[in-house]
Parts: sequence; C-alpha cells; structure tokens
Amino acid sequence: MLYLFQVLNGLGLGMIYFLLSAGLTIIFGLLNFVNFAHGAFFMLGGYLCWSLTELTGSFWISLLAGPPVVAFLAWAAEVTLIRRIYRLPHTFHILVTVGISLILQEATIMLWGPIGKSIPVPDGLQGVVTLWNFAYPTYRLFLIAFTALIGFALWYLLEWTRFGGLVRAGSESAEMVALLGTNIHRLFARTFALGVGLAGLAGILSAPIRGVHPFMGPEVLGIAFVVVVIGGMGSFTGALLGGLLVGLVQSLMSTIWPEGASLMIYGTMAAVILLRPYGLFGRA
Amino acid sequence: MNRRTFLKTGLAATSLMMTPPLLRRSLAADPVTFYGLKSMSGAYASYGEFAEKGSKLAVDDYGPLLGATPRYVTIDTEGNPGRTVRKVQEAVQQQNARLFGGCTLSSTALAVGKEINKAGGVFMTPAGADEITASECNKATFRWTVPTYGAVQQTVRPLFESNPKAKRWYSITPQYVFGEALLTAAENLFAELGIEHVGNSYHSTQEQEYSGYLTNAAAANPDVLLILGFGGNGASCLRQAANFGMKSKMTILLAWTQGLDWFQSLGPDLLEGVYLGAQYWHQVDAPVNNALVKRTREVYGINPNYPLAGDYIITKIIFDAVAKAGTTDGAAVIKAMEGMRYDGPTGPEMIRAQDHQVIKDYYLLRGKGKAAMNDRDDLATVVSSGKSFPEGDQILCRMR
Amino acid sequence: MLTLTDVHAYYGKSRILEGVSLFVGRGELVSLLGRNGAGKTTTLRSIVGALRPASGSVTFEGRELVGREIYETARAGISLVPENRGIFSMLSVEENLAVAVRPGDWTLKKIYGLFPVLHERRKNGGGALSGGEQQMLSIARGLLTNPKMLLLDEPTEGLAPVIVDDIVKVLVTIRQTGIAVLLVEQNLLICEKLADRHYVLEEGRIVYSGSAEDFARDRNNVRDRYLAV
Repeated sequence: MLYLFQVLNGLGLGMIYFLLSAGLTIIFGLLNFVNFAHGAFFMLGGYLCWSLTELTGSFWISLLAGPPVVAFLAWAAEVTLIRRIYRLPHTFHILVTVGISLILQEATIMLWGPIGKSIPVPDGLQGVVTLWNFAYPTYRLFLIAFTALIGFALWYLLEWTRFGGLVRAGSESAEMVALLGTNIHRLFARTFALGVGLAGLAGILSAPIRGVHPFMGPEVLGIAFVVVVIGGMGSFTGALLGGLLVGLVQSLMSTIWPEGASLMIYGTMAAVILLRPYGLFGRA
Repeated sequence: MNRRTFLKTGLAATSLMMTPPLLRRSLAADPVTFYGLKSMSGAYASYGEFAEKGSKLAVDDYGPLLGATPRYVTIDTEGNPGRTVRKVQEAVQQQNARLFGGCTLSSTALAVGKEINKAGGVFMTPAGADEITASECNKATFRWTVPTYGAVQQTVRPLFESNPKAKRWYSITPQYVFGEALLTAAENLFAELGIEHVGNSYHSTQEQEYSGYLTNAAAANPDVLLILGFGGNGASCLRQAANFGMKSKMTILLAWTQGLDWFQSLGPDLLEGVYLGAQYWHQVDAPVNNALVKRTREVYGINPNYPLAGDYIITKIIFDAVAKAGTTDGAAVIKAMEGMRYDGPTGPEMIRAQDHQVIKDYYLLRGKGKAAMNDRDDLATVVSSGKSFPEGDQILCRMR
Repeated sequence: MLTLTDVHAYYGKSRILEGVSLFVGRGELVSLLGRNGAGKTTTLRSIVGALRPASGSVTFEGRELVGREIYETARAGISLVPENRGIFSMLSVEENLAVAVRPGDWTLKKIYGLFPVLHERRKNGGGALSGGEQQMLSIARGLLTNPKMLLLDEPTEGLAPVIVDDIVKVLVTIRQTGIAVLLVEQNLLICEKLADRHYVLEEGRIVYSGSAEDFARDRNNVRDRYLAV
C-alpha cells in the first residue's frame, strides 16, 4: 500500500520532470543547443504564477496566461541573442545561458525579494481524495492528469502536424528543411519558445506543491539534464520515460533509502549510460 | 624662483595641506568601529538585508561612544566562509578592526570566530550551531541565539504538557550536524517525558520532495509531527504536509523557525494551527523590544524580525561593553561582557561567563488563521516561552 | 533564368570555384559535367546559398541570390536535390513528402502518380528505403515544392542500371513540364540523352560550354580530356 502511494508520487513528480525535459530535449534535438537557462525559466513560470494568482486571485488564470508569457520571453531571447550563437561550440551555449539564468535569478530577487513565496492550491483542488486508508492530495492527481493531457497534445503536435514534422525533420538536418523552403529562423525561434514555455508551465504546475524561491532554477536544471541524458538527447519518448523513471526512483528511494535518493538518481543515469551510451532512445 | 625658495614653498604648502587631517586626528578620539559580517549577496542575502538594518539602527541610535560617534562597516560574507575569513583578516591587519558581529551561517561564524580570537578581538553571532558555545567555543566568541537544547526544551515540553494524551510523535529530520543535534535533544526529552517516538525520516538538506517521508509519517499514525528542518526545508515539508491533509489529522510542530520573514513567505492559511519555535517575536511586551519595534517602524516601515533584532542587540551589547570597559581593547571588552545583564528584545537577558552564551527566552508560537489576524504581521501568538540551557556538567565549553 | 557570373568560392582556405560563369534558360535542361572534386557540388551549393561565394554574382529571374538565406532561394523557386539525398530517416515517406508541399501543380496525388513505388512504401520509414527509392523520394520532394528550377546533384550515382533507367524516365517527364533543370552528373550518356546544353567544370573553372549538337561532335575529346579518370 505504501509503495502504491510512492508510485503515485513518483508518477506526479515524473510528469513534471517530463514537461521540463521535453522542452530541453526538443531544443537540443532541433537547434543542437544546450540550454542551461531552462531551470531559470521554470523558476520564472513559478514566480509569474505567484504574481498572477496574487493579482487575479485565480490560479487558473496563471496556468493559462503564464506559459505564453514565458514563451514570449524565450522567443525574445532567441531572436536577440540565442540565434547568434547556434554555430558556436556547446561550451559557448552553456556560458551564455548560464549568464541568462543568473540575470533572471537576480532580476527575480530584485522584483520579488530574496525570500521564497507560497502559492495556495486552487479552490476545487484542495483537500484529498481518500483511497482506502490513505489520503492523496487532489491537486497531485490533477497534476498527473493534466500533464498527461499536455504530453498527449505535444505528441500530437510532433507526430501529426506540419510544424511537428518540420521539427522532427529539422532535428536530422536543418539544412535540408531550409532547402525545402522552410524559414528555419522562424522554426527555431518558435521551437525554442515552445520548449521553454513547457518549462514555464512545469514551474507553474509545481508551484502550489513546492512554492517558489530564487534559487530553484539550478536545482531543477540538474534533474532535467539527468532525465534528458537517460532518455536520450532529442527524444520525446525518452523525455517521458526518463522523467517517469527519475520520478519513480526519487519517490521509491525516499521510502527505501532516503539519504540516497539524490545519489540513486545519478546512479540510475550512470547505469543507463553504461548500457546505452546515447540514452534509452537517443541516437548517435 | 630659485630652487631653495621652491623647496621651502613646497614644504610649507604640503604642511599646510596636511594640517587639517593631522589636527583632526589629534583633536578627536578614534571612533569606535563595529564591523558587521552580513550575507549581503548570495543565497542568504535576505537575512543579510535585515541583519544590516538591525546593526545600522543600533549604531545610528547609539550616540557618542568613548568621545566620538561610533562607525559601522559592512563586510559582505557572500555566504562563503573562506572569503569572509580573508576579509576579516584584511580588516584586522589594515584597519585595526577588533569588534565584529553577525554571520548567518554557522560555518562562517565558526571560521571567523577562530580568526578573531587569534587577533584578540571580540565577536558576537546569531548563528545556530551548538558548537559555537560548546566544543568550538573560544574567548572572543559570544552567541545570542538559543542552541538546539533550548529550542527543543521550550517547544516539545510545553506542547506535550498542554496535551499529555499526544504520546505518539514522528520526526522528520534534515540529515546533517544541526539536524542531528535537534533530533538528539528531542529523543532525550522524549525519553524523559514518556513520549513514544514512533519513527523518524531523514532527508537531505537539498530535498524538495517530501511526499515519501510524509506518507511514511502518516502510516505511523502519530499524534504530533515534529519537523526539524527549517528555512526552505521546513517550508517545503510543511507545505506538502498541508497538501496531504495532515494538518487535520495531527498536530504539527516546527521546532526551529526563522520567525516573521519566514512566516510571511508561507502565509496564514498554511501556518494556521501549526506550532512554531522561534528565537524572537516582535509582539513580545518588553521595554527594549517595544522601543525596537517602534524605532524599526519609524526608520524602515517594517516590524523587526529575528535577523534584524539579533544583529541590533548584538551591536548594542558590544557598544555597551566598550562603554563599560572604557576601551576597545579585546580582553577588556570580553571581561565586560562576561556576566553582563541587560534588557534585550526578549526581556531580561544575561551573558553567561562560562561559555559566552546569552541566556534568553525561546518562544513557542502558534499560527493564527487569517480571520484572527489584526494586521499583516500578526501571524502567530505566543503560547509559551522560557529559558532552557545546558547546566553544570552539560556545558561542553572548555575555555577556561 | 539563372545566371552565374565569375563566382569564386572557398571551403576554408581551399579554393574550389575560381570564376564560374554559366546560365540556364527558361525550360532548358543543362548539364554540368566534371570529375570528382571539380567543384560541381560546390557550384550547386553556391547557387542555393548553402555556401556563400567569396565573390561573383548569382542571379535568378533578375534577382541577386548571393547573401540570401537558403530558404529564401528555395522560396524564390530553386529546389536542390542534394547528392546525399537528404532523406529524413526517422520520418515516413509520406511525412518526408508532406513537409515539402507548397502550392502549385505538383500535388501529392500527382507525385504518387509519377512515383508509384513511393505510394506503395508511403508508410515506411525514410531510412528503410533502398538507394533508388531514396533518390526517387528526394526528387519527388523537390518537385512537391513546385519549383521553377531544379538542381540535381548526381541523381544516378551508385544506382543499378535498371534504376538509372527509371530515373531517366522521370527526368524526361520533368523536362516536359517545363521546369528548368541544372543537372550535375558524371554519367556522360545520361547527359547526352537529356540535356539541351552542356558545361564541363574542371578545377573550379568552366572549360567547355556547348549545345547538344556541339557536344555530339566534341564528346570524345571532352571525355578524354576532362572526364577520364
């Protein structure tokens, strides 16, 4: 019974990690860009959630309006800065995006103060659902369902729309896609905005559970990269399964061996890489 | 003009230019300078900001000390012990600094305390680790904060005594020295009071996800959930416990909290009915506290919180000691501080000579709901308070 | 329609094109012959903007192409079918075609008519196709963009003679639709069969230019001088 709840927790956690990593892996897959600012946008999403919820009193408005704002900021960053550095080696990507994340972090402290903030669980999702003897928070169930929906929408976007086809084609050869007449600057910008918008969405969804504080960016960034490495850089399915795997490991470890939860996440990554160096679904 | 005239004129002019500073130095006494070690940048910048306000208020309101207006210099610890130690060394060597106060992080406080002791200075800190006035105590270091023994005694005991039927307690503990110290103190007290310790979950200090530990805790069916994490750990744990509906099933006690600023970030809904241990509370009715609250509101427009109050009184104590000793000489100031009794933000306080620990109240608060609040900061009421410190053989400090 | 004037191009420090000038008229099929390393692929890439020429000009319907983005030249109506075919291996045949579609006469239906094998294999992954099928797919994709001009980089390279015949048939059909074609090939026979005019490239320079008639006369000389290994 206990393990069932750990599995549910792991699922919820895993879905957040999936959202976070899906964006990261899509960005890497198409743009060949290592985005170390991903965690900072996750944080930004969370803070926007707080502000919008404070302003309007409704979490749902934050959920609706927050991700587009984050996506827009990402789009702006792409057209002004990011697109100039694609051709540079990955180390430069890291340098620039770490810089961006530090700027966002300090801006957050300036705008919202250095102390963290709480966001209340929205009305209607408060309380618990009682299963046998145990209670499980309603909000966490909502989270699992909602992120599954988003995951499905993403899959549909990638597999069945022209945009998705271009993203997948472009991941193999951006030049070929350009030769077929697609404006790759626009494609890249939109993909970047989409990927980062997903991070912002993840931040908003996790805010009522974890609250927000200015240093939460680097914390989630580490996990996001572990998930992407486990799943395979550029693989959507990999982000899903990697995210769930990491979420489950983290959750089950807190029952079996709490001190080692973090260690086991990296241990899992090491084990996967040893068996499949490019991740579960990665390609060379 | 010829060379001799030039030289004479030059010398005269230079002497003339030098006179005012020379005159000033000989006419006035060197002002007493207090060096505040504050985490102005880095992860703990929020505390540094309040601590800075506290010290500044104390310095500005002090009046003349030893014939001159006291000066205040900020040293940014950056939350980094190594860098702070270097800055302290520079201040000691280049500016003859001797009076220091502050440090949020225990690691910084311990490192800096050793350094200041070597230099023959004086250092008072609000940092939390027991070692500061126990195994790592030294002549230069003084501490205002109540350590783990008192924090546990003044929260667990009164809570249990008001509700003796609550015999089953589950603890959630951050796994590092400080967390262990709180846990040990709690376990000893459980044994004394006959409380059944039904389980403990350790978590790393980096932990974000408490659902696993909380599920374990709920499974043990405790009457009280004792959360020993503080800051971010405590916040996440409490928030998730509330999410899991645990507030209605059991009493929750956080033995060590930072007080008002931490309460503000969580909000009254989350805090309602939760028991909270605190070093300081602005609503306490004591003369120095009342004055401090009034003054802080006048100058900064806010109510004082623990970092502000702590560094305020620390600065004031050191200045008072300097006044009492009549000099800034380290040994004399230390002697003046040992055994000093004074009115502090928690009421009457005393600096114990044996271990340089301030004997003061620690508070058990209870979170008020939104409906009961009279103003934005009226987030909790004092349930009980008192002084609990290791005595006699239990004092681990061997300075003498 | 397409005019190259004194185009110089480098890869890093290596000089590849040293003043290439050629033109392709409306509706013509022009061949560009030469040995390996002569600079044929570089010429095509310089036209579409995959490589920026160091100097010289490339105009298409009067507009300068040098300095433009690849997708801009593609949208202007030039479609490159690259040497490596550029098939998206993780997309199906259908998806490969779908991302290329642009408005015009060439529809998916018409393409499937011209390339029945692609219709059969439409659900297969791009990477699962044989060499010949991939080449068909690549040409089909190029057509689906409804270009005014097609650039083909060695379409018959490495293919079995039977497949080569199929490709030639396709090219004949394409010719008849009036699309201009610049065909890069090492296979002399194919060029003779299809082209209106011929260029020969050697070490980055055009060393021969002539009509089909001229070439019929000169072909052995040309072959021995510029194309023999």
